[in-house]
Amino acid sequence: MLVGKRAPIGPEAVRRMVDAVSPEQYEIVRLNHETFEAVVVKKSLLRLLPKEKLLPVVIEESNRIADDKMVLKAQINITIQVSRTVDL
Amino acid sequence: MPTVKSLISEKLYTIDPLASVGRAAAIMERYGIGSLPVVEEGKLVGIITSRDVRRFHPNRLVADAMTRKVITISPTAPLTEAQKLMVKNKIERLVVTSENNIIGIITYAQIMLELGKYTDSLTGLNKAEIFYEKALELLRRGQEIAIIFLDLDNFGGINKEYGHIYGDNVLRQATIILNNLINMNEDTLCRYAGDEFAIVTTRSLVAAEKLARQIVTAFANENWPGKIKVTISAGVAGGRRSKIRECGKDSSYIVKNLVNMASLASTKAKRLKKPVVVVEAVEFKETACM
Repeated sequence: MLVGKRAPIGPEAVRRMVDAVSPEQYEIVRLNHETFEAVVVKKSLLRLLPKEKLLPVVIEESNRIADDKMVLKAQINITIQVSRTVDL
Repeated sequence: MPTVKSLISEKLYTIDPLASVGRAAAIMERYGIGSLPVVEEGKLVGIITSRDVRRFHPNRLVADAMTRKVITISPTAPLTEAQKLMVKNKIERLVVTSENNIIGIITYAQIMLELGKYTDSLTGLNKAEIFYEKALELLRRGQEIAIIFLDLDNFGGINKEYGHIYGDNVLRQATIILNNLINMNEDTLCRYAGDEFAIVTTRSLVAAEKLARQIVTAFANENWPGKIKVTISAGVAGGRRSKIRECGKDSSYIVKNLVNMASLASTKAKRLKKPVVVVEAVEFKETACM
């Protein structure tokens, strides 16, 4: 979830909200960005991709359509392809 | 010299971080205030200002609109210190705290209004109150100080002969000369009264006398408007005190004593037609306040 700088709810409110629904499952990353104030991201996602890799992509794509008054919910689909060689 | 405490209003309004920005705006509007300290379980966690209220959606939590880094000041701090702190941090408000308890807020406008009472409007110099405060502060630190008391010669005559507007211009030009000669790091200049100026300095008595002679020479060599001659007489007195008792209003008596000696020395200089008269350094003993 991306929180716009002038959105009706801010990161602290989002943190309390997600903590009430799913305690300890989300992390809030505060940003120094022209449009967004913070990103609330599921911790399990960060186990697949470090936030240094994940956030620039999410922010770049969201910035194309959002403004600073929005709270944007972004769905990330990560596809993992595994290829293994086995002895027959 | 007033302290921060003198500007604190009696009633203090605070807000909880989980209140809405709209609620903060309503409180500010209702009580005509420009900021609210944000307090959670008795602890100061931020400050929300009218600017934040305008910037953020009213549905937001105060916690999402407040400034988390709060600059605080003690109620006993001098107003000049509060003003410097605000300029340094580019802020317009300071939260006043004492032993981690919030006791009020002071604004830059309040401070400037109050400090304006201690600034001479004609010359822009400090008035005597600031001078006394500075001298006392130096003595409290155990520093040796010297007072240079300066008195324009025949200023009444200049006013009578050329008019008071001309006299005012002479005072302004005198201020420029003095400001150019002093060193802000060791000298504090004030317009003491009418045509009298005073400098409190951490220079030695010998160095203070040297400065006084430079001032007298600069006045004599100055190109004054109307080609008139303006001279100044100086008296210098030095003193040292390693410890001063905290005795409230009367604790400035040592400085007053020094100023008095320097003032009498300048009168003597005028009478004897000597440019500078120096009073030997005085060692003040521990004395109970009157």
